[in-house]
Amino acid sequence: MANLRAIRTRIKSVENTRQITKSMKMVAASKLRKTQAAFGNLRTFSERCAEMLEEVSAGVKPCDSPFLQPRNHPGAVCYVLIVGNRGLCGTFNNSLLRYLEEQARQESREQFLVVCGRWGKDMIAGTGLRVEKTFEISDTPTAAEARALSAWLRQLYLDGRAEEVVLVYQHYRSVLSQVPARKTLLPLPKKGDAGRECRFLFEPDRESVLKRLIDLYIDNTVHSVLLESRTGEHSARMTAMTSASDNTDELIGKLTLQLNHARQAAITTEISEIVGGADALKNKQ
Amino acid sequence: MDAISLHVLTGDGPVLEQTVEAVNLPTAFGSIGVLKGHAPMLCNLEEGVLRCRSSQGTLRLFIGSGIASVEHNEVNVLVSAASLLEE
Repeated sequence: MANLRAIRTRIKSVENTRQITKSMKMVAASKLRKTQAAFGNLRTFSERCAEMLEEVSAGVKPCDSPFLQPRNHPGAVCYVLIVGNRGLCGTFNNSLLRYLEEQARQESREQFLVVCGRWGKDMIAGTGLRVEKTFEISDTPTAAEARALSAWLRQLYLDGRAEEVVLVYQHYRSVLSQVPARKTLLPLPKKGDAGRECRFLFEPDRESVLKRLIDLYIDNTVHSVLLESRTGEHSARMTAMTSASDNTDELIGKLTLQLNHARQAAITTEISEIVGGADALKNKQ
Repeated sequence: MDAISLHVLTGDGPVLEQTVEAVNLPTAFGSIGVLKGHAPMLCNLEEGVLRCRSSQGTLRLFIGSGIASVEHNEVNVLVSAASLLEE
């Protein structure tokens, strides 16, 4: 009988776990919809911004903006690591950290980290890379959060504390697949062809328009990468929780079978005991 | 009469998409009016009030700093923030 009770307790606890994983799955799904919508909203903005930059970049020289020219003096590399806010999302955070470690090994220059997200302070400290600053980024990053981060990164670059700023994040392929990726934020990749004539008027002048546009472009890049990473996090969590719920269903099935076996065995023993007892009485008479 | 398509976009999504007759953009050196057939232009916008006039009336938006492009009777306004001002 003790065995029966143990199995019943086990089933109960698995059912509780299932309830938790199911609700986490639903929460992740709703957050995923929200970030996907925000990502969609940003897309038009990004496209327009890139179009404008393309126009202005015609005939632009690297000396026109400090963000376009590579730094002359050797400096440090700043990795902006965008991890999740929580765990329980499969290998999402861990694989990113492994990717970062691999990148860091191949790099000979001095390097440091800027972390975005609450996950794994100890794990990140374990890599041995210095963490310069940590940014709190919500589950659906807003433009204002992205601006705060990119303004800080721009200043870092202008101060010469970093000669290269690299975003390390999970690239969102689909709900089921995210791959670690890196994107160089600063200096900006070279664009435009020098010979093209620009047909736009500028107000107040070309330099200030270019400066404003580059700022906007950097803000926008940071925002879209943050959103992409969060979209990946939510979908990774949703996938992980779906498979966890499926596992609990399977486990409950197995345990129920075990319970029935044990119950049947108990009943059989009881009957054979009664029959045995009756037989013994009959023999006595 | 309404010939200009105006798009006001922020990083958090589009705020206004409308066909209008005239747009008034706030810049550092005063406001710039844009009417049908304006030459292609890129201009820096400063915080202020953007006005647009259409056959349905005049709309006012408070916008943060950003940039605007004018080309082929299409005005794209990319700003840090924007909200419609009530009458």
